[in-house]
Amino acid sequence: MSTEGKRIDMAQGMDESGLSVGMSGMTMPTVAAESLAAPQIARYVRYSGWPELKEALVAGRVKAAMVLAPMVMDLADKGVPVKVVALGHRSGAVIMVRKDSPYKTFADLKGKRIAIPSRFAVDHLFVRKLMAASGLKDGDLKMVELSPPDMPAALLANAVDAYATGEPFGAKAEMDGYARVLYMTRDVWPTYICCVLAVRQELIDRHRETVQRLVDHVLAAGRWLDTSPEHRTRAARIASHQSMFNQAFELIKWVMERPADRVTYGDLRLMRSEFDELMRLSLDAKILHRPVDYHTYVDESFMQRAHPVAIDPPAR
Amino acid sequence: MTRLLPVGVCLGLTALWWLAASGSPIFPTPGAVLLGIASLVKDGTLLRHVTASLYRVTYGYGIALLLALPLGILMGWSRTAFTAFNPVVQMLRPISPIAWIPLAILWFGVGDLSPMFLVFLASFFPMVLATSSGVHLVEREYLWAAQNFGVTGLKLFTHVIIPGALPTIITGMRVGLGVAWLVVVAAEMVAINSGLGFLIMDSRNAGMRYDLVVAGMVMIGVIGLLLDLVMRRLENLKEVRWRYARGR
Repeated sequence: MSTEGKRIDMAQGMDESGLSVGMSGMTMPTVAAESLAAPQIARYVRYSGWPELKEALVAGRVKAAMVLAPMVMDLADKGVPVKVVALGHRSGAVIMVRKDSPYKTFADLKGKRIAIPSRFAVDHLFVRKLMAASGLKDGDLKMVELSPPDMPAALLANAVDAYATGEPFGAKAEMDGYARVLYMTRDVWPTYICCVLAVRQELIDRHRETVQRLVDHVLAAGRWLDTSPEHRTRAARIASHQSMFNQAFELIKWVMERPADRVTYGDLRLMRSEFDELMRLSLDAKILHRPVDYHTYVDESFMQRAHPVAIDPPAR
Repeated sequence: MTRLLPVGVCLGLTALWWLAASGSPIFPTPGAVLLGIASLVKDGTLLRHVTASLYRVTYGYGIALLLALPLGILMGWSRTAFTAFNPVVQMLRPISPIAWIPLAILWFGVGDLSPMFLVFLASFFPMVLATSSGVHLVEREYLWAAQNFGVTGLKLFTHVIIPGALPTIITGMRVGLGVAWLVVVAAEMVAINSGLGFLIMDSRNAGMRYDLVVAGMVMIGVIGLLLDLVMRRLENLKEVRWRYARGR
């Protein structure tokens, strides 16, 4: 996860200002590949943070967005007409510590300070899952909420002992040489879901075909990314561009390659059991106050009708 | 009658707010905000947030005041000091505290010190400016008169310059305190689990707790109003009152 966001305007064949999809963090290679491969479907505008993106989605100014999964559950529960239609990526969260720190396992962090993006972030659930696995209880860790771009500096200044974030803010400190990865979701929670593609109900009702094409292309971009390392490099190049996410190419490349399954895109299907687990963890973390029915916040029909499209985004 | 005037304006605006907010997906009604405040009072978190913010603002603003007054007086009195410091002050003044956050974390870590530093930064410069211009603008007639009576040195300073500048200085202090509260939301981005700014940020990160976002805004507004009422009492001191043409 990160505070990066993108908006797709799908003006073609639509009467309103267009479909907008907010994008975040490590969905950026998907977005990059998809937008260049099929520019007739998508045009991107960047959002600066999660709350802004959510507010645009709630207000209906954005018709679709890559947002945090628990956020969609909560919005749908509160009557905001949004549905999850696909995933954005899998894995891609890390726990970082200083290179010169003695921590070997998560249990070593007992009594220490760990930064999380916000208590509503999925990274928080990742931390809680590791706490449970290491026998740590509520209060055994001091959690500090910080925006991900500020985390590397906080670790460097010893203001926190560790931090949990979505890429590329872990790789940033790793690349700069003072931090190392303590845990990656790929090792302990490979099916980790962070960002999901959520669409407003009126768009589903009025422009089914558009949503279907969007889902098809997002899936295609994901598969394309996971079929060859060269594709990942190409996507990193595209995503790093100033007009896209404006992140350093080397940084995105690092996240794409070290290792290649640090973030995965090949399987963006919706799995009920995974959402159920996320829901359980969210309830446990008090992000949600009551269970939300699966069909209130998920629409599987686009995934069921998805058909493969070939994409081959041109290199920039 | 005039006492009822501000109450009437507030009620009218609240009514407009209620109308505007009904049916909005994000904007909560005054009723929802009241319920939100009530729930915060009930679980005791409101007091915790208010105390945390007051604590940080008091220290940040207090230290800013302690440093701004001498620097402002110096810059207002001495041409050399003004020439030396003014460019730096003017350069640092327009920078938003948000831009300072990474440096604040680096220097002061995550906790109470960083927000205090950010509040300090925001309120320091307006007070330096007001103080220096207050001192600078003391009319030369007063200085001549004082000199004719043989008043010089420290006595000139405490009996003529400071009283002459005080009305402007106090206006600067009011502005500084306002700015200190203005930046509390940004400052508490690096606070741990408490403060009205944190409450607003946290509620925005939550799914649909805009009632609490606005509750935080209302609390900041109310505290700002109360603090300004206290500050305005300073204007009633006779050391200050002499300058005002109109009574209150």
